[in-house]
Amino acid sequence: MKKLFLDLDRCIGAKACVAACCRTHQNSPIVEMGDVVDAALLPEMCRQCENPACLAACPKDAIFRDEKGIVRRSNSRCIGCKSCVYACPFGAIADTLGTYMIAKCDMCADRQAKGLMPACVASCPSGALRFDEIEDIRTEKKYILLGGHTMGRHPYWRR
Amino acid sequence: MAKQKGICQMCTLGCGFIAETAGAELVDIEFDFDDPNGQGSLCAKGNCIPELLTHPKRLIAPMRNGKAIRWEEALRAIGLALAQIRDNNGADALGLVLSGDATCEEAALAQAFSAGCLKSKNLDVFFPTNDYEVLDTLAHANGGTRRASLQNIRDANCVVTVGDPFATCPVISRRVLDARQASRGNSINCIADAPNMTSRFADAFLQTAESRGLLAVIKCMLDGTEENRPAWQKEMKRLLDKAPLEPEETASAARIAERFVNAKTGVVLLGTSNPLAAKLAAALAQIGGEGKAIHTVLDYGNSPFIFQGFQRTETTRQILEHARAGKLKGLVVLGADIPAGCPDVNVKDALAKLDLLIAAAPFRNQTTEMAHFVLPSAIWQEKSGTVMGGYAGALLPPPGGAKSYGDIMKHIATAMETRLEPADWVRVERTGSLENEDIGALVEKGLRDDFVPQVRSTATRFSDGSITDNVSWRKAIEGGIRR
Repeated sequence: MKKLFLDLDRCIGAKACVAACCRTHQNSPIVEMGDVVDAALLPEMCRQCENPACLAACPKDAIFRDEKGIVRRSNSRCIGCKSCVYACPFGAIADTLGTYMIAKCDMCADRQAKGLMPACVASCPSGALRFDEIEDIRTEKKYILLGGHTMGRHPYWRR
Repeated sequence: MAKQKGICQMCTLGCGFIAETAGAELVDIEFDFDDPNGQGSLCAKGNCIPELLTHPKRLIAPMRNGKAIRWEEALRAIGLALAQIRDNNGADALGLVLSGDATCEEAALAQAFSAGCLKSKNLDVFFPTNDYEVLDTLAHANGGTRRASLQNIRDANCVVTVGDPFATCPVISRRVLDARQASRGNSINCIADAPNMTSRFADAFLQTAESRGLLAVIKCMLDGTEENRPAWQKEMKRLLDKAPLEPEETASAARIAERFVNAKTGVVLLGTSNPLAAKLAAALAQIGGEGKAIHTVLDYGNSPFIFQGFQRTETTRQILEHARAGKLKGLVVLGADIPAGCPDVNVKDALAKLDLLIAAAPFRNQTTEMAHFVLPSAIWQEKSGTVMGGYAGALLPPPGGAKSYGDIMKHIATAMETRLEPADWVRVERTGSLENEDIGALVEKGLRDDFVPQVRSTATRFSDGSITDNVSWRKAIEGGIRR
């Protein structure tokens, strides 16, 4: 399954991912910009956890894992109780889509169906976001993985 | 649904995108991976193009003292009033200020309109971000400085950034970071007056006023070698040897100078609105020797091309002075929001003294609030013309009764019953070099680190409610999208 990866050595904090996400998701910011003061900038996007807390917290089974392994939200089942918003340890689910809906990253399922990349990845001006298999990143010598979502340059390749 | 290529004009990089239109409506925009400038990506400003074009608060009808009127009525009244002021007060009683997001044709037409209809030399294309001044000083310092292409930046061993080019033009960061990560010896060096987006990636960061920092680097570069340098460089060395520079400044500057001189290919990436820093950056690239070049990123996409064909006669600040002195009676402002662009001058005072103020704009702003006549105008994607060095067709027609600046000038000329005449003003040749410069004055001014008022682009006029005060696109994102 392909996942989003963020290269910490390239993110300039241009917020293009936020703007692109807004544009493609009815002006609701699913990606938000976090700022670890003086250390790093990172867009807070869905990590697609292996054992998702949001899925476990949902009382109506509105959050499900689809056939590709992407954790998504069902439009018709969501009652907007915001249990998932509080359950997500990364703060990656926004409650701003509407009164009865939450905004959950679906890796731009409609764009992927058309053979396009997720909007935040396509838009990234500095090339910090990648949409790839985790194995591909692991085998590339110049990257080291930091958790399941972010990566950095290997110190030897840094300069 | 039709697909058409568009060029973003939010900065000088000119990233391409694909617009999907249905009739007169913009459906969405898509990333264009075949485009050589943007390589498929768009920054936050570019992603806001659909919001800008389909904003619900666009002006769509002409207004007279706050009341909507028909175009014919507005044009007749404006034509009469302008002709009356011109005939009663003679030449130079009227003025025209055109916004920097005009096409090259509109800038040329403004000269003809000003000469033929207004009979006035009070004409300016207004860039609130100092683009005109930066380009003008660069042209005068340019003899022998090579201009870097985007590919040159990608291949550079050493990049020296002045100001914050990553904030002006985020897509350029892709090339700069590619260049640094291509090899271990490559470096990014930053000269800026405060930590910013670019300085986070800098291997050496010289935090001081931009012109002062550049002089410190130039001093270190001139220290080492003595052989046959041009006269202006020798003069500069003599003056800089006496310059009072702090030890920390000299230490960082020496590191930057060493890297820049030793690099096989180096680029000075200029993202500043300080004209003096632009001139010193050109000097830095020339002293650096072979393989060194300069690249400028500016806030207004079309500004380098307007600058090539347009001769400024008065600056907007001078025109405001005339208004304050009572010499200027009527002013036509096409697109520009002067109070937002000149935060250091009391603009409203000067505008209030005018007998007639006509403002054309796509959105309400501080100038339209004061204007006697308000005309709705088109945004750059809604008009055809020469932009970014090539012809660009309109992606969609302007909403309601909005017209382009060119059409507005033509209609006013018809209403005034006067012909547009080619301007007969003398054109200044824009070729100069540092050889003919007063180096003493340059060094003295550079060391003094004068405050230069910095205004970010007003090209993004979208946000909810506060369109006028929105001089920064970051503010636009926080206020406009994150509601």
